[in-house]
Amino acid sequence: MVDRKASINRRTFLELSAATVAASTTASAHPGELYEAKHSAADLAAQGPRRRVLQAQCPYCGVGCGTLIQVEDDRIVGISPDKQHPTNKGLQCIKGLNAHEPTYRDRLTRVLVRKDMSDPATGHVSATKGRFDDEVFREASYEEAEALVADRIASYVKQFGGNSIGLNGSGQLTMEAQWIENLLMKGVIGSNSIEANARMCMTSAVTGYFHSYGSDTPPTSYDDIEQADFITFWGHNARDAHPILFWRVADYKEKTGIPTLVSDPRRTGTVTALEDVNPRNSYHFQTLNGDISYLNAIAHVILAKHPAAVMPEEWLDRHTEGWREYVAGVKERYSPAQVIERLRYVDEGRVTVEQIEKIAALWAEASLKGRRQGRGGVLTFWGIGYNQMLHGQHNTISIINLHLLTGNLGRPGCGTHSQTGQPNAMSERLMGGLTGRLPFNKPLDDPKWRDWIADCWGVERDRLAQTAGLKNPMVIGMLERALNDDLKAMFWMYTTHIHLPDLNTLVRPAMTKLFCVVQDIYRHAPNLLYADVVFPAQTWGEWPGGVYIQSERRLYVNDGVGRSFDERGQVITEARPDMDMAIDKGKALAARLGLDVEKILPWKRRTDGPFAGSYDPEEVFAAIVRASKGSDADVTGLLEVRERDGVGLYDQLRRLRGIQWPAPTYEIAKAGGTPRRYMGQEGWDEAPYALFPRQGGKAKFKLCEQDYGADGSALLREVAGELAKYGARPGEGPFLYQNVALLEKARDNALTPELPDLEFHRDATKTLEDAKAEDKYPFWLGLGIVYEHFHTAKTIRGPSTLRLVPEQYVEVSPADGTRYGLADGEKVRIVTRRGSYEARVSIGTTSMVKPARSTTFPGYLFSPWNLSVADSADPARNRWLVNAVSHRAWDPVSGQADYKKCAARIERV
Amino acid sequence: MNRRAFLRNAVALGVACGGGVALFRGEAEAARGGAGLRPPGARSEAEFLSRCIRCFRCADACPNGAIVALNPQTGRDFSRTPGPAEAGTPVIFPRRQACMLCQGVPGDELLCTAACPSGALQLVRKDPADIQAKVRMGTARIDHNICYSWNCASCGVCARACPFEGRALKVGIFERPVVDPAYCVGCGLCERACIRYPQAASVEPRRA
Repeated sequence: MVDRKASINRRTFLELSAATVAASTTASAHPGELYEAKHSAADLAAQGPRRRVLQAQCPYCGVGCGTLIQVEDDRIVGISPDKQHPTNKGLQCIKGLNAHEPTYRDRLTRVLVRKDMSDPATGHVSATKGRFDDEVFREASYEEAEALVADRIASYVKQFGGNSIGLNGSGQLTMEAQWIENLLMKGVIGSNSIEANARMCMTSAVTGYFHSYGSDTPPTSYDDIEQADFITFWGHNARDAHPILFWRVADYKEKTGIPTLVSDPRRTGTVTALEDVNPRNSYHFQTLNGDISYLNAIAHVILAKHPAAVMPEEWLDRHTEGWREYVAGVKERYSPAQVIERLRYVDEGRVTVEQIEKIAALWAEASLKGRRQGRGGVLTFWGIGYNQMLHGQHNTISIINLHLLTGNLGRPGCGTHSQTGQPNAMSERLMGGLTGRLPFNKPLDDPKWRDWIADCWGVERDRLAQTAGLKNPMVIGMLERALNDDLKAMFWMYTTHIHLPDLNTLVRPAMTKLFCVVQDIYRHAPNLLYADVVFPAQTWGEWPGGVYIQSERRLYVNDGVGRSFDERGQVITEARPDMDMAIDKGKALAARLGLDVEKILPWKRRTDGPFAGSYDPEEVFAAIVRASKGSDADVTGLLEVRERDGVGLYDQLRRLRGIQWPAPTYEIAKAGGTPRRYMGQEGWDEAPYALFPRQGGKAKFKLCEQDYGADGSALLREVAGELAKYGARPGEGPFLYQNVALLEKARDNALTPELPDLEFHRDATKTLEDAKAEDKYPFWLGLGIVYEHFHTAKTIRGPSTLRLVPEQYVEVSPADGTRYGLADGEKVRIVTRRGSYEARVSIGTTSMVKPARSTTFPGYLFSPWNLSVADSADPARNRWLVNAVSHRAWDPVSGQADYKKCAARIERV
Repeated sequence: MNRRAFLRNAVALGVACGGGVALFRGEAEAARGGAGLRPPGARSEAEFLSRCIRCFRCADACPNGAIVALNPQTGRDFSRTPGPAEAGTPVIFPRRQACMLCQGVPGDELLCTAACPSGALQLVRKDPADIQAKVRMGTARIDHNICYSWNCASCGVCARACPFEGRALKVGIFERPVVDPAYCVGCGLCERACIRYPQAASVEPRRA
């Protein structure tokens, strides 16, 4: 019902907008304006400042709410939610609502060049890295700095090879900029060392999807929420991280009374809000690191007690492979009692047999109901916390296993939905802006697709084949390579280095040695501390267009005013869109490396219109759409619509409020794309694959194991002891990328990167002072996010959001507060083997230290990373940098680090 | 657009009511900048005014700088012109700085009540039961017409700020706040925290 209603709404809207656009093609020159707004703007023109409304996707989390940017004379003055957008239906959270506030603050206005630059070719290390005051920089013209960068990079490429150049991109860049940066690295420079902050966000889900489904495609839509019979969240504090998605779930729960499950070590706001709706069918697995085992145990109970919910053998044989081994292993080793015993050392029996059996019963009931009705079933969300583990890929696979076993896929209202953190992380993945990846879900070592992309990029096929032979051990390994003198220079585009783990011993020493080229918007952004050349960039709302893709595969256009301003309202003439700067760098480097510039980067700056002086992102987007032909993310239907109906690509996205990929045909593109994937749901007659885009067309099971070793902790101790050697001394080896076997061992047994001194914590006579005296680390420390902030740059510069949570805090359980005599609001220092930060103690939900939404269990601490540089980015004054303490250990397949389980102690200040 | 239109209306309303239509005074105050509250533990208004010796020690004691002396200057932004008996008495404008009930401050009593030499403020201990028993500065109310959470934006900021969260101020679905007057002591932290302008959360002062 809900679905039908939504589609009618959308259809009527489309008809209306088609009719009205036809009538108004001659109206105002600004292409990004809402149709409705054009008229009101004309009416208001006589009255004062020109008011316009631009369409965009919210620049914060991966939910991707439709947002209307209120513009007054080219200045962004406000944000309002888009009532026509199918994702948020007129809802918005406070971050998005205040997204305009940090736009004109602390802006970088000039191109800066460090006076004393690091030069890895000569081995010179700058003495001023770690500082960003005016003294250490000189101003330069854009052209001079571009030439300087191109000369240097080209000389490194010639001397050390293309792979000596690295790039860290962003899930906040537009799709077009991501396409160009990938072309710049893999095609022009010939480097496979391209990474992005998507690595720390989503790659565990990505690699899990590839393993199980054969393509990095979340198969579901948000509209599945309102059709599901049972919704589960794994490692996902949705109320904080993805509020609009969460409230859609809670709203639906209130209306229909569906059961819900949250698996999280903390009692988060997500848990309590669902309990507020209905405490009798809201469940909470309070587990740390045990998700794989519990998922397997749910499968065990379903197999043993609810066999009707298991898909028939012939179905499993026809559509999947590897299920027999999975079933056998789960039956043998994952009974609830076995699992709870095996995890007791860490989980201390917080999850019970009864809970697991109850969840299995609900899961089975929902699965059967969904199958009977042809819609509904179990819908599973998981968040970044679930991905950020040593065994993140296995976490994802375990969820998919259970969904395959119970047939919760291939129909509306059920399925697996990974929720991205960044607004455009999905595009970073789809554009292949990661080591070893090509655009559109294909690996770099797929020769056929590689040749096709080489042709699309206009680079020699051999050149790209050469790139494919290069190795890069993902982002953390890439920085280790820098310390090992294997990487010479790095680009940082629209991302900060403080999202990476182990800053003091790994990231910052590496950036000190490297020649770093930074594109940023803020004058006091942490990246400037280690930048050799800094280019001011335009930000969201200022770009002359650009596409974002949110978590339900929806491509949506971000319109902008095309100009940047500083606090005083002066135009920043030097600020350019990231895509433009990437194109300029590509052109300069291609020329210096003897490549055909005109063929690779044919784009020209516009000379007239409202966006004169910038490249046209829509032209680049058209090239991207063309290149998608034949992939499982084919969106060439948009081109057909443009040809047959004469509607521009961006206009199609604007009118439909986004199109969900794939959209391979005219009809599918006109209908807004494909809401659901796999099992023939696409309605795509000539899909380039069978039911699943894997070889053989089948989905794949894999039993993921978890075992802490003899007596429940031997293996944990052993591996944690080994891992403790990494990051012990700043800037020095050993390097973990040279010991991937250790990471694989940790992954295969689903271990933790560190192990606190739990015996110390369990000894009730020990105090905080004892821990310091005996050099013990008795607490688990998890890092994450808080509702009021998005990451570390923008919301801490917006007064509304900063005021709400202005200070770094650490959540301590009420029992620990009493035991150690820690008062609510007391200032403490959190110390791990690699560093420390200061924070205010926040105890429970009645704490005066806000937001006070969560309660932790005894022995577990939690801090958000959002406030890392809210005091000051300057290391001399920065006390809140949480990633100074985290461990670098990563999942050997996905490359994602484990931020959730550090060993820490508390020291009084 | 909305905000401007609303503001214009609000100002118009304020002007229309400025002539002294007592019934609308609260509305106008809420629209312009909120009303003034007596410090915690204040006795009934008449008794408070007769006991208060304008010594200003409560304000000096306040760790949050919330208490100010009421005079035409301080009242100007808050639609509160002191009457002849009120000039120089202590008052809290929560929009400027709210009463944090001395949470997180050393001591067992609310500092202003401990400092009061005349008994205009009765001594209040810091435990929640005593605060609930003795403190009634006013009652918070939420304007559903302008509150973000009641209008499609999940905000919930006021409830996070409430010292009696879950009792005095509870959030429901979409973080929509609901006040329970039985528990609300009128500290004004919700009004102070509200990110809507004009504030959707405001404290209606206890008048008697």
